[in-house]
Amino acid sequence: MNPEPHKLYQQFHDMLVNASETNFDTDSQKLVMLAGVKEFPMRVKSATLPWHTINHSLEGAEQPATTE
Amino acid sequence: MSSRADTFNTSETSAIEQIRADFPVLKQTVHGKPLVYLDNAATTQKPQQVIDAVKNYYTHDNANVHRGLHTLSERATDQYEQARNKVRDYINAASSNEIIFTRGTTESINLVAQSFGRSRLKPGDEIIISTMEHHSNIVPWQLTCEQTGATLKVIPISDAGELDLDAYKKLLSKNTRLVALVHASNALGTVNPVTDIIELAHAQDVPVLLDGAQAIAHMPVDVQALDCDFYAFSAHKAFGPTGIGVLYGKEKLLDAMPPYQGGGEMIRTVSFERSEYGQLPNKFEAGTPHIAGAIGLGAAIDYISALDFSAIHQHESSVLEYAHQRAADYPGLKIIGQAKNKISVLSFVLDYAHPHDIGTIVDHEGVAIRVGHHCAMPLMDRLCVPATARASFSIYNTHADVDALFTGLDSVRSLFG
Ligand SMILES: Cc1ncc(COP(=O)(O)O)c(C=O)c1O
Repeated sequence: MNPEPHKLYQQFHDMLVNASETNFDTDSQKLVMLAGVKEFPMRVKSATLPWHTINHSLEGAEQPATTE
Repeated sequence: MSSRADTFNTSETSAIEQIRADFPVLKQTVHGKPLVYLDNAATTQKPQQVIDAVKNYYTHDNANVHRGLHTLSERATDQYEQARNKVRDYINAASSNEIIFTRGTTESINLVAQSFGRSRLKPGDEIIISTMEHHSNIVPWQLTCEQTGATLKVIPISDAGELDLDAYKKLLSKNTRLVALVHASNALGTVNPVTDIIELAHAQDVPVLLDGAQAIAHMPVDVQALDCDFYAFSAHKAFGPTGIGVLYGKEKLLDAMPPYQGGGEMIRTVSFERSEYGQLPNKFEAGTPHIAGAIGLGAAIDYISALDFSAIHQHESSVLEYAHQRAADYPGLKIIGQAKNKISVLSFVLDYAHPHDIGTIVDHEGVAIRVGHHCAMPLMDRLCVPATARASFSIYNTHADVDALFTGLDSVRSLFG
């Protein structure tokens, strides 16, 4: 599996779910814009679902992606 | 209890203020703004009278029902059965044997689907529902169909959100065994012409179940006048507690139905309970019921009965009409559900913001609305929307609440519009 998207997924997830300081690569720096979503716990799922989805398909998982 | 029948008729703010004062939860701020609760179709708030009834029961009378000879048990049984009688009178059932306490609308429908449906249906039989059903009036029937080989037929709706009655007439056939229909839609507000629907079904000897989850808090329900065969509702949508609801069924139908929970083995092993199972309504109330819930429902019925429905209707209609007026010329807003006969529900979408964003932003203005598919995914598909935002009004809502909603929408518009 390509480590690059997986690392991004992990960083994005940590930013919203673990509220950790995230040092994105310069190319992905814009993702910090979405850090504010963590102020809306009900919406974290919406923001992370596409990341779960891409991660899931890159892993070739058979089950549908979920945020659980 | 003193009558509040005139409360609304004065149609003054003070009348509504008096009602609002009964609901302690309304006296709070959310994100620094006064709470504006517009999610009544999901669940209504509870008046102090209901809260007190539940509290008093646990404080003074708590015991199990139908089991003890001691004083508390007698009191508990008495209050529980009184609550049943209040429900009977409230919906004008012919007998309290026709009032089964359940966990709510969902369990009531499941009871009928399993007990009535499963014991009678066979391959080739048909059950009619409609496009605007809540999942709780779809999935139980799908389960029954899987178990029996019966099939589900669906009455289509118009773009405005009204049933296609001609299609319904065509669907009714010699194979139809039951019509199960929502009385008033939670997602659209549509009030269905249930009297006509029941008449047409009865002309072919087909019984009708009505899902009254929404209707019960907004209009008088007289099961004998409607002549419906089953009527299901939840207490929590009509100012009562969660976890308690009602299945009304005509006695001769209920009598002929097998128990829903427990089953044959249990009757055999606990043989001295056999006679209890044989009788209505206990036959369908296996296990210790939600006693406090039933008592709370009784108190909720007392509360609504002390108001008067024509006044409630007038008030809620005026709030809905005002909401419709404000919605009509609001930029990018489309009302979902434009039936002529509606309960006070305003479902809508904005062409520049997802309902979830609308919900989050108005919440920050203190306004509670529901966003999502409203447990009616087939309906959302039919209307080609993934979700809607829904404001649903109750007796304590005001024109100012509608204004607060639209102030919230202004914030949505300034961010997304
Ligand atoms: C029309 C309708 N039917 C059924 C239900 C299910 O009610 P409950 O969840 O209380 O069983 C609801 C409430 O969500 C409803 O609005």
